[in-house]
Amino acid sequence: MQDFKVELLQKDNVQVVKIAGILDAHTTGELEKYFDKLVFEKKYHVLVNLTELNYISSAGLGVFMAYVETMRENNGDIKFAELQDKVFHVFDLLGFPMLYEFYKKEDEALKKFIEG
Amino acid sequence: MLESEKILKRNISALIDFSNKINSNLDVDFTLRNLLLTIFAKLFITKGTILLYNSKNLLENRFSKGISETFSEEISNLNENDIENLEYLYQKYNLKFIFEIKHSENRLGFLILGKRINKEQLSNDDFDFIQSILNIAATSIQNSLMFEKITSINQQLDFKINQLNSLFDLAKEFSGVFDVKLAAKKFIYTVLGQFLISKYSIINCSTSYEIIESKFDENTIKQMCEENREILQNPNVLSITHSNLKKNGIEIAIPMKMKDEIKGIVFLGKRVNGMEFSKSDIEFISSVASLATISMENGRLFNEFLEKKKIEKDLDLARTIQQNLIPSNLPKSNNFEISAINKPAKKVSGDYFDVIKLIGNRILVVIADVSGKGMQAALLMANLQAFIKSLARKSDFKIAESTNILNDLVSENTINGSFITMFWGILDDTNKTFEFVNAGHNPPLLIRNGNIEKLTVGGMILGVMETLIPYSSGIVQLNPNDFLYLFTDGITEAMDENFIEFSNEKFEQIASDFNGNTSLEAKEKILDEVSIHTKNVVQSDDITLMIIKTK
Repeated sequence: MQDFKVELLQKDNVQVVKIAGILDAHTTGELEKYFDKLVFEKKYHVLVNLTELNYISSAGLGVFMAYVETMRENNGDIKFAELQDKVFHVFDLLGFPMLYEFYKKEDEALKKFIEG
Repeated sequence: MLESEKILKRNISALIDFSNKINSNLDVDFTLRNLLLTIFAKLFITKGTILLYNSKNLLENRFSKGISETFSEEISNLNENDIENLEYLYQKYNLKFIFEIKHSENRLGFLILGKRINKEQLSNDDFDFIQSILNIAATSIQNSLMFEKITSINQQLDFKINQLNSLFDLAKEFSGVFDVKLAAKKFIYTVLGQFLISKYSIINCSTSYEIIESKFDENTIKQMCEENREILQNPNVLSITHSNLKKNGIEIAIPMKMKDEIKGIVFLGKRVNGMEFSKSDIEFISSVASLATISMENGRLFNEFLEKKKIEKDLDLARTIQQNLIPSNLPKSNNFEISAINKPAKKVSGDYFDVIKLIGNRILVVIADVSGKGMQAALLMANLQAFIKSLARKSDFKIAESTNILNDLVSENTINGSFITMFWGILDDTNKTFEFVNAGHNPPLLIRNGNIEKLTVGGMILGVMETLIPYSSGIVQLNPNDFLYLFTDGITEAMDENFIEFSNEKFEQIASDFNGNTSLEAKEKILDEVSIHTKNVVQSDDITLMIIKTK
């Protein structure tokens, strides 16, 4: 799993998933494990920080689609923060901003979670 | 300055101002807003709308003020030939003036205006003004529409490029994936991300309908598959998803085909953004599906290959275990001379022999045939040897009693109806007796002066059930030059090219005719005869032979 790293932090009751490197068909499996773990532990407030993500493919986006309903059904959500422009372009191209909240800064997204 | 000159000047400055504003940008909405508001201000009008033809050549309300929504709805289906209806409609809604917006010979749309606040009619100057401003606006609108179109094409292109990238990404990825579930996962994630889908199922159809992965309710899907077998077997119906599937929330079903056989089906739920799947979307998903199918098929073949390798390795290991169980050196004694051989066939079966020194100048000889093949037989044989070795350590080792215990031990430790045929006996090196028990094994031959005695006393084969009827033992007094032949059915059942067995008769004949001196010679004689019999035939079963000569 060269050039790919996932880091999990807890801030208040929000799980911050920091993804670095390249998220494509090769690395989705790794990310999936983290989401399985979150669902297993009933942690449904997920903030995905992509500040260090350099590339995302459709398969990478698919992971978020596969888990977002579970999070929302349990009054949680998946929100995104600190995307590089080229990465946001892919999210935008496939219409993600219609379904997910995107924030420039992690703090803003955290505040949004806390305020409900 | 004359009043008319003043008006002209005012008109020109408004036009220049408008022109400056709109020519510096390509946003059509900006242009339309300025156009309408400039006209409102200049002519004291408060209601108006600008209709433009869209890419399908239907009129569309692009910008309006003070106009009811029903008007927008009613005009929205008018095509370029429906001018009459348009005129009827704008009058119906109490609008006063209509102007065509034209660029060269192209009609871009219409400007429709309500009445003036001061109720005055428009003067010729006013008409000239509107015509001039529309001419200026038309160029800008045309450019902006072009720009809109190009932006949209660019976006579609970007989307296509993204799809292609996904395909390359997957193709590269699939080449290294041999796990069926993993391949399905990678495939489905790509589709979910590309089309904003959150519900899906992947079904394996090779034998029955098996759910590999599902975000739909698994029981519903299973039941649906069972109830709609005919539909699921027809790829043509699948591509235009059948209503029976749709009522379960399945938007499209994509078959995963290898040649013409449907190996699997992917069910996809609605796109979360509410968009429909286009024809090219379905084509894309189908191509990803076939990529995944090929990969999964490779995975299956690879697993089969691994399984075969594993079995071969298992057999190798079993053979090694078996070889290590057979003694390589036989103990020496004063009165007996022993030769033995075990020639395993290519497939491992379970022949076993042993020669063990007991306490009190006695020697235990064992020959056995374990049922079954491969690892299971080898392990049972290893167990048998362990049981025998521990029983043989007892100072008061008695052969019949030990057979009772051995049968109980084997019965407790065999599974799937394995069993063992065994013959064993104790050579007493002091008084030259041979006490033996035959547990269902081919009776050994005692050859004395060319006569044959078969050693049959004993009981049933080992491992079938616990000892209910105790084993009995036989005993013979051995004389010099007596030969004992212990063997397995690999010898007597060895077949020639015409499937004719070596046979007990032939074996007995050779044994009784033997006139050599040593057990080694006797052994070589039998092996030679067997190999002549089985010339050009691959050995199909283990051959085990032990010959004991009394000195």
